Amino acid sequence: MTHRLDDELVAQARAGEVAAVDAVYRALAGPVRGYLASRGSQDPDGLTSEVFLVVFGRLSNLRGGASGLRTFTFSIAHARLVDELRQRARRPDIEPVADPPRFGRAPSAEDEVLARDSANRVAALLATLPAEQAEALTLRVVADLSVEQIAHIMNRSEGAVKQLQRRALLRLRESLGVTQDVPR
Amino acid sequence: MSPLGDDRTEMSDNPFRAFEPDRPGSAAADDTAARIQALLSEHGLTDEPRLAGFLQDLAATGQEVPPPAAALRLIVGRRAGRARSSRRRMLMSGAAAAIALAVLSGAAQATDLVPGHLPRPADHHQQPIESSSGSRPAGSRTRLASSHPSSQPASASYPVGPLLPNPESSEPANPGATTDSGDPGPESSAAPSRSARISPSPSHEPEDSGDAHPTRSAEPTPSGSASKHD
Repeated sequence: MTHRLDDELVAQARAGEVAAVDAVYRALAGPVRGYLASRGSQDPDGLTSEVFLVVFGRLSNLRGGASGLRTFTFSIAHARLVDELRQRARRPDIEPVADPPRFGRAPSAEDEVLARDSANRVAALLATLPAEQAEALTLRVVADLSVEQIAHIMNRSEGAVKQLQRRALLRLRESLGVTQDVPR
Repeated sequence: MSPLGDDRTEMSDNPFRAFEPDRPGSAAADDTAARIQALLSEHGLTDEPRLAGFLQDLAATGQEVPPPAAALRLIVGRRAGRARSSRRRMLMSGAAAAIALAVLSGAAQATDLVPGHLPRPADHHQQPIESSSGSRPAGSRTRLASSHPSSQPASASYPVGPLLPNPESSEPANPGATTDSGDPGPESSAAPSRSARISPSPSHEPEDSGDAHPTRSAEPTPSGSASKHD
């Protein structure tokens, strides 16, 4: 079941209701992990947990309702990702961490192959984009953030974020083999 | 038994069943499609099925909810494996993992997340963790550190001292715990003037609970609660 992150849920989580904290995790952990994985994290699961360790610790102090929590969560995720990429640049010989075991329904072999193929395709296409374009697009599509929220996280203006998204989409469109003119 | 059978997890006995990713065709999928169409329409690209398909695949990367316990154990193991990790940091990491694990599994009250109130990592499976203000069975917890902020509540049975700075992180030792001071600035480590925005370690504010990578102050303000793009 998908958990919608709304102001009421966040208020309950801030008040210490375990079910609400759990729901917050379910609502945001997937997008956080997807964002980290799409942006090239070698350990998206571990980094996701680190993000939520911070989020849970600060939950009672957060303001801004669901939108504020979402922005805060991805702000941390963004910072952790930057740190990981920096660390990797300094220590390129670090070995990637093996995937942890998966719980719940075990996907079929066909599902796994298709999912891996799709993920590889997404990663390959995203890798053709400049880092900031990929960042802006991923935060919009995976994290479901508004332009204003993305601008806050990336420390850019809203206009710059819109331009990054537009350039990213046009570049992807070219990569996907679509060549018609785009309305300005 | 088929070799594949060994890799499959039984749902009935699995406490993490709730974290199974959503199946396609859910309301979430419809919502994602609507968001993608809104994005494309903003840029006059509505008639681009291949682009829409790619964005659908990109959005799908956010549908897998990682099981918290496995990932948290991974954190502990990974940190333990670092040559420069101190035993203290390993203990802190384990305690932090236990907190999140206990809360996510419904065994603890979220108030136990208050920094400075750390359950012993091994205890959460054995008995419910009581609120920090409540009574605790004698000997059921371990004091993880002797030093702690002087303003720690007297009822804090298991205070935790300041974290050691992580030499591998670009983040400062001060966690920049959330304040009500207003604009937090971006969370990005890439922000060049970040250190200028972080107040020096306030003695009255406990460090982030058990996290060896304290974050900078980044509390979202009401201005951060931007109206949605659509």
